[in-house]
Amino acid sequence: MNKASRPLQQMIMVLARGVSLLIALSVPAAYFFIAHQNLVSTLESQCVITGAAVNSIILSNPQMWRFEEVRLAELLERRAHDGVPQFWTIRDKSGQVIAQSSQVVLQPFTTHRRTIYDAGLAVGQLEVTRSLRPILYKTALTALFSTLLATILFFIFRALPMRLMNTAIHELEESEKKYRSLYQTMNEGMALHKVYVDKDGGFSSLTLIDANPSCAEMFGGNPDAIVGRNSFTLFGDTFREFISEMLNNLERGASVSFEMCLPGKDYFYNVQAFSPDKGLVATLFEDITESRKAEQQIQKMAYFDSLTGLPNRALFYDRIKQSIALANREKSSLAVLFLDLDHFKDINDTLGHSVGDQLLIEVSRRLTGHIRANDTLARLGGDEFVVVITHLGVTLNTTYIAQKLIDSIQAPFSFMGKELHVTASVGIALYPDDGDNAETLIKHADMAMYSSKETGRNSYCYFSPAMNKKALMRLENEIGLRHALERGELFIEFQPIIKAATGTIVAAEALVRWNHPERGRIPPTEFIELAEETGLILPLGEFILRSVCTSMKIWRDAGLPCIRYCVNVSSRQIEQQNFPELVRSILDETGAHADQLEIELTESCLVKNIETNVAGVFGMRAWGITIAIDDFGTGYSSLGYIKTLPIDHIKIDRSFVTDVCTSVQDQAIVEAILAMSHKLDIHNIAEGVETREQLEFLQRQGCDEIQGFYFHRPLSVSAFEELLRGQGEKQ
Amino acid sequence: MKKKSIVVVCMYYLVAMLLFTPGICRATETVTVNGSGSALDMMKPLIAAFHKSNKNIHVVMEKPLGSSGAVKALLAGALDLVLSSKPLKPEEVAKGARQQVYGVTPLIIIAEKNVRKSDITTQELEDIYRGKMTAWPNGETIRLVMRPNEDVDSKLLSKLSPGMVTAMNTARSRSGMVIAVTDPEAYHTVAKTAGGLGATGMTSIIVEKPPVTLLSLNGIKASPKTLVGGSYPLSKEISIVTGPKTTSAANTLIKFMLSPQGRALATANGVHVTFGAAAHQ
Repeated sequence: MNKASRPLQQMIMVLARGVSLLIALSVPAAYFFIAHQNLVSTLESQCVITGAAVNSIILSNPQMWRFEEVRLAELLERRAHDGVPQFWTIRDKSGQVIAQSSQVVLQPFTTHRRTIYDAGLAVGQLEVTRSLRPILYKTALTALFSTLLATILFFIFRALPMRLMNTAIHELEESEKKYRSLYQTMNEGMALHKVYVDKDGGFSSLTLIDANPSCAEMFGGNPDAIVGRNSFTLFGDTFREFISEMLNNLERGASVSFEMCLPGKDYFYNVQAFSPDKGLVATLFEDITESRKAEQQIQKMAYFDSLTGLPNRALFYDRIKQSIALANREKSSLAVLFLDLDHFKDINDTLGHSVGDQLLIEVSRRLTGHIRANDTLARLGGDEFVVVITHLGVTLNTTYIAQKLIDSIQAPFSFMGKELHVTASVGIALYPDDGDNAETLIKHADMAMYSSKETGRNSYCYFSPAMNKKALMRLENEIGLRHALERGELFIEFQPIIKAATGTIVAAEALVRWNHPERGRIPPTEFIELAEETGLILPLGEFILRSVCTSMKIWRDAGLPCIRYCVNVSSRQIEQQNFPELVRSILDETGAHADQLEIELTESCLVKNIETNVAGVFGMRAWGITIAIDDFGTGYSSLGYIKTLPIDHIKIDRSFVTDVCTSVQDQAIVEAILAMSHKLDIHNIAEGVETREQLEFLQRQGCDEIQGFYFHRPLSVSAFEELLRGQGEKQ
Repeated sequence: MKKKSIVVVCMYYLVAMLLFTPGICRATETVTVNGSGSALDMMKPLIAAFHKSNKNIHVVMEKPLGSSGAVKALLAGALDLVLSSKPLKPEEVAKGARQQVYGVTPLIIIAEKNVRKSDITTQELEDIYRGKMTAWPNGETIRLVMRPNEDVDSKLLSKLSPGMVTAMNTARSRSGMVIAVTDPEAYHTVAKTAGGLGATGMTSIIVEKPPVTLLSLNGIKASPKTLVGGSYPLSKEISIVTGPKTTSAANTLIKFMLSPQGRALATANGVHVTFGAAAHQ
């Protein structure tokens, strides 16, 4: 039993006893009182009745009534007495007994008297005595029951509050135990301080009087080592700084929260202070070191590029905005340099992303070494870097920096024992001339960078309004191309491929054309690359494939010669996981024969997807589809795939054919390609044949098929159909 | 015993002589008499006869107080003479009361006049008192008129048989019983109550002639003769009680009662006078 609960226990006992005693005594007392009053009333009533009877006897014999003992005695004897013995006495005026009843009344008893009269003159007294024993017996019985009841109630009054109290105490102890355990085991440090005041009542000092193990571990090792020490010594000056605020707030009952760093240690704590009692301050120390570090990490992740450690796009925008604001205030200018590595995509594709990542890290390191400390270099993503140069003097400065950045990348990079030569293109936009906000400046620098790439790469280019116009045009083309697909502005032309030996049409390459409603025919060079970049190549490629297959079916059904129809497929299409399924569904949908369809892939497309989706594409050969390599010899040629992949045709790029009659090198290349294809039993096709000399050379070298303006330009569907029909009739 | 009787008789003669001496009784004197109802009924013809020869003595006889009450009144000086049916108590004797047995009269069992019955047995009485017998042969409810427990009539009846005491106590314990305190109350109540049953001295029956049926007991008709003969068991004593001081008028009345005329009148009214019987004989 808790010591503190003893007074409460005693009070409950006293109350229970008091109430029980009250019940034990009051019930029989009340019963006796009521019963006695009732008896008195009964006796009085009986006296009235008997007195009247006696009076009538007196009146009947006023002289001698005193001697009518027998009559009076009989009268008294016969009085109603509800079964309880009563002793009646009639006395005359002198007190002498005139008559008595014979019944015996046991003590203790009560007596009631009433004067008897003779015509209004008092002549005697009537007494009735009745024993109190019956009432006492019943009172005793009542007392017995009330005592029993009081005893039960005593136990109830005592047990119930006791049980409640014990339950409360138990719960309190459990709670205390729980909180003590929590206090002992909680990760947060908990400390209790005593506030000492000086004579004037002002704050004097703060002493630690209790600390849980976590607190001790945070600040000293074990509670004994820190308890009793000055709190400021333990918790540092931050604690001291907050003491006045702490005390002011604690007086008002409010808690105080602040962060502190332990002096000399890289630990951070969130401190919650409150006052559990007057003159005491409790502090809860939450170790937020980890969360602080995590915050820093998150901040770093949010504002810095994880690969290079350079500021990312978000931080760069913040910096550039600050720089613009500064330049605006100081009436100075700044430059945004947009740097993009040339052909970085190819490096990634060919050498792998890890090499690409290493390259980016090294590039960022080199670039950092060539900018001032107050300038900002950031990586926006991929191989795009951007630099903000502040406090520009003259334009020459920017040019100098741009060239320095380009030069810094010129030196070869060495990875895994291999040297890698990389160049970069830089676009430059100036504030305030080329834009007055971050977005515009970056966009214009980006445009300038593209312009630099278009003009030969490995150089820098300043933004000009013309670039903006070109970019707008490009945007217009993109929108137009989307609409072209929807509005049916695209159509297919077929360029026949002739068998070199016979001069007959053996195949035709499908070429997409765009007839713009306002601008007229737009050459493929203006929209194919755009379609590639914007992803529109996917619906465009599907359109071409469906159109070709539809024509194939129609012409086959029409009895025209069954030749091959070549469809160019871009790398983006191959990258689609479901490309073979798409081809299958179009064939099924149109009813075209797979053996008339030839898929043309570029070398780079093959190389890029050789480990992933090429197997699926070549799997289509099982349906009868043939595979041709387009623009052979121009890409990242790797003869390995020619050896391993079941290629049906290779198409010698027109760049080799154009000068084949004049260039010894081109002749050698063409001869080599043709010889190789013959040896590997791969059919070859020469593109871009425009002259008889070219044709004769190729025929001499055993070229299988010829494609070019010498025979036919790309023809409309109807013209090609007519041509094909003509050949069919000849055959 | 014989000596004592002679002395008492001499004393009475002496008193009588003094009373009848001319000059002494010249003024009208009053003698107040009370006592047992039966005895007082006996006194009525005696007083009438006494008054004829003693005109200066006025005998006042109020309604009966009963033997006990009358003796008390006598000792209190409220009466001159008491005719009692009870023996004196020692304390009454101590206070100067003197008693002289005058005679005996039968205690007769009486019923309401419509009760068609002439005899009753002790067993029937017991049954009636016990409550076992509750109706007369004619179907009428037997309504018992009882006397107080201390009354001599009750005591006489209780001695009738061993079972009577219990039977009478049973009857007394019953609620709603009719109690007649005095003899006149008893026979008047019986006479007025349908199916009434009670007891009273023969003197009252002869003198007052109440309209009741007299019942023989166990086949024995009540009379001084059957009483003296011992066949009738219920005998009620009549005695003369005087106080410490007896007036001459009272003595004159006593003398008359003891006179042959008085005795003859008493006998005629159902009393077997025993006082002085030996002397007369």
